[in-house]
Amino acid sequence: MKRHLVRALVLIVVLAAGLGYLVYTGFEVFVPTLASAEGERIDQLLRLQFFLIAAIFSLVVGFALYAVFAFRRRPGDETAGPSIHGHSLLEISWTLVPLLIVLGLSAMTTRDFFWIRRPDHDLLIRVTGQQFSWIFEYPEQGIKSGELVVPEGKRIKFEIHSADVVHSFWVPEWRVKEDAVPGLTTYAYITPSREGAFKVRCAELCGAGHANMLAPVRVVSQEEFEAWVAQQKPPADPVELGKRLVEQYCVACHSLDGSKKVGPTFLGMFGRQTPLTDGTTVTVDEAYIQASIRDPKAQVVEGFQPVMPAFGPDQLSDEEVAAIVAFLKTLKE
Amino acid sequence: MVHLMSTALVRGLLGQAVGFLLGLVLVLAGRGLLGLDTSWEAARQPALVSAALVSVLGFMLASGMVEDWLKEMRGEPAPLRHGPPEGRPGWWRYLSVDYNHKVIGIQYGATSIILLGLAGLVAVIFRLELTKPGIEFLDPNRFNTLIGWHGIVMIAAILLGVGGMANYLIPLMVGARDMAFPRLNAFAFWINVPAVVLVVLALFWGWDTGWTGYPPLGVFSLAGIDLFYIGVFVVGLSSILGAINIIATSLGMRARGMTLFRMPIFVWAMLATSLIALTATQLIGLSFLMVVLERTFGMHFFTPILTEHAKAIGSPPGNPLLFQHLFWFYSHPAVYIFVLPGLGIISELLPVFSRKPLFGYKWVAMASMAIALVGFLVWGHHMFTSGMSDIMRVTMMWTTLLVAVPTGIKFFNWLGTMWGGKLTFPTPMLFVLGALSIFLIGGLSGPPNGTVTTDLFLHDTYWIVGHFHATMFGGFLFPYIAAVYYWFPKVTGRMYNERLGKLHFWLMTPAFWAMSLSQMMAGLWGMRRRIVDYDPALGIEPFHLVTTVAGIVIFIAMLIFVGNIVWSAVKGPVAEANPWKSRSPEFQVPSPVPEFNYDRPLVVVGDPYDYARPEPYVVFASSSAAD
Repeated sequence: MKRHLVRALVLIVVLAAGLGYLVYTGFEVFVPTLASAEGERIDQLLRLQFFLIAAIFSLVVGFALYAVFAFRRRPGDETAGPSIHGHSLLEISWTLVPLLIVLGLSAMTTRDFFWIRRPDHDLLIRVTGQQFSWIFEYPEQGIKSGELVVPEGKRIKFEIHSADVVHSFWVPEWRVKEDAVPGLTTYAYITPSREGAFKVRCAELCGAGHANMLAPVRVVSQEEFEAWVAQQKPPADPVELGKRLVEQYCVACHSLDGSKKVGPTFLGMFGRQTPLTDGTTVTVDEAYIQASIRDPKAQVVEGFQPVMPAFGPDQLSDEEVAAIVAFLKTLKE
Repeated sequence: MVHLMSTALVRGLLGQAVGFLLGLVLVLAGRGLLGLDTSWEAARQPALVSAALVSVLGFMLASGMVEDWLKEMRGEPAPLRHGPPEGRPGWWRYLSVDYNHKVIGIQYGATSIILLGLAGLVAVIFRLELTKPGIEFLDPNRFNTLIGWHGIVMIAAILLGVGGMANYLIPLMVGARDMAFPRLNAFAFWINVPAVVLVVLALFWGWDTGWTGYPPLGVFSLAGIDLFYIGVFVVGLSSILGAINIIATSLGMRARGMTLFRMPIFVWAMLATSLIALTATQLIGLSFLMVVLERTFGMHFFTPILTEHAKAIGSPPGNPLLFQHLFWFYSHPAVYIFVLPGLGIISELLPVFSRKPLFGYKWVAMASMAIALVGFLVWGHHMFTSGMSDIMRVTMMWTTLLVAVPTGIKFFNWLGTMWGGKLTFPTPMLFVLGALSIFLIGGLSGPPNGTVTTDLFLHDTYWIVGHFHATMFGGFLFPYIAAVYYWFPKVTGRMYNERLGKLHFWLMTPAFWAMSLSQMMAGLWGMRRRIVDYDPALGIEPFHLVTTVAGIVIFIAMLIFVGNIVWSAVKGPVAEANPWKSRSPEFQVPSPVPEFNYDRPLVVVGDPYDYARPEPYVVFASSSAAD
């Protein structure tokens, strides 16, 4: 028996070394680029757990594989295996050791979690999710944007809201995610640690446009951030304003390049004769676009589902709708 | 034809169709009398709710599943029908209300395999869509409907599969003639049929919440969602009633000498499972019912955005998190309802194919109970990113990780069972070993989701999809397949084709590993759950290709499985009574098992798994007077 045990242990050590080496060298490949200070703690714990997985996997698979090869019944052997019913010391140890491991993991995570969730912050950003777009308000700067621009190295408190159903605010490179829940205010704390372009990706199923509920993220230096804030006053040119609003609210479902998404493309739409689901045809003009923003389910273009949420005057003022129309007119094929 | 028309299945479905129409008419007529809008657009939602509810009643009355109870209510004698029905062909009783636990077990098992096939086919369809980025052929609403359908039909298939194993095996294992409540047993099976029909009908109108049905999205969702909610509610009823029967049978009808710690270990697993099903299922039923009420009558349980009317009468806003708490209070323990029986099968079969006692029997039995009990205290880990308070998240993490301890105990005891044994590897044993390897990776990929901080990253990604499918394949599907192969000769009296069984295993196991690992990798690289289209910039296309191809291979392997068991049930070679040389009581009687199982009472005299001992596990009392 001792001989078997030694051989199995050798197999386990070899397996564990191989898998451990894979985790050691491959961890950065397994996860996306790391871009936040909070994410660093998360990756450390994840890496530790991957090592644990490699070790326990090797332990169990090593014994099982060894048993499968060493304890095959020989042809013609009709006898039974030994009458062993258990071993109390073994039972107690494989109860206590895993218990200590999980208690240790819990304790470490508790420490990290409260560190990630500590309330101090340098910048407050109010995030609102709505089917199927993200809006970012900077109350201290007095601006509102469809693009999330943040300074590197500053701890940001995101105050998260939803206007309709549950969404989830997530930038994979930042690791942390938090749901946007209608009727509640939730929070996420993130310190971006790497400049670059990323995306907010809605991580909670929120309806037909969920897959494309993305928003661009830019992490920039403090100076660039301040310059961006200064530029963010609403543009006077309606086409410019319309472009910004369309990028903010519409592009998750309506493409600007002719490709088909959840809704019809905006490219070359203005002025076209378009068949509707009720069999009639309509000319896409100012009145039709306005009506389709305020009450989208009334006249649906043929080949599409009536899934677009309505935008009331609270979300888009009449001037903003007019600016969107002005921008759509410029999208000629 | 006459025979077919007289089966409970056909009669019930006709009754359900009539009930469905009646339900529609009831609402339309009621609305007409009240002077409300009777156009289909306006009346569709309440009309479908009413149609769904009345259709279930229609099925119950027309199928004859409540006939005996109605007779008793009227004061007429309703003796328990026994034995094969006279003047009917052999297959007839399998499509009819029959009170024999073995017939009901086969009904459960066959239905579960049909549903596994349908839900698997649907998975292949949306996996094809996901092979490439972009929207190829499924529009988003259809995609969302299909993923929800896949999820809930798989859950129903698993519950039915568990029901099949429990109903067929438990009376045999404890030495009883039947389940404690045969009529309730038949009722619990047949009520699933109208429920499944409702979930199938839900496809026509669609719904976009996935199987979790979260409000507020569920409140605003497409019309199919009411049929889905009500269908699940009814499946839940079946689960509760089945659990009552299993608990009563395994605690109250054991053979002489069968103390709790001398029961076959599968009975322990089913006891633990049934305790969960009995006490937690109400919560999913309740939460779904509340959304239906919210949709139908505007009761604001979960939606914080109020209608004008609700504001006028001063109704407080609803809370979406309340739903999640109620929902997961069942739906987490539900995972243990799915896997505990599977783990029980592993514990039951390993000793047979190792020719050695189950190592640490009491520890394995108590581990099942521990998983069941701790399972009630961990639901919040599904809500780590939901906005739940920080202190709740941390508390739920400490309890969640505790589940690893009893699960580990099972693994180590399985190794202890194999160690030093005399192992053979027919198909059932291969699937047991496959289950062990897959449940291992399913289990080990769990703690990273259990520790809150790493879950902030992993939550709602494809990593979770990989983790979950590994636990379901390893914890339910592989053991279930092992069980079907293992008891196939006992159930049919014929042997399955071993070569096809091995082909099934060697196709399915590597394919599953490839699928699971590529799902997990896609998730780590930023693939979210439940999206019809993904960003090509993530670079996850190769993982999706592997997942899809592997999924198709699994589907083909399952077709081979079904072909094998159907063909072998008719044409397979006649099997011996005890082809595995098992000590278990059901293998000490001829195959297929006689109508009333044991003609003489059983007496337990030995250990269930100790193959080295000369005395058997059970003997038959010399005469029935010994009872």
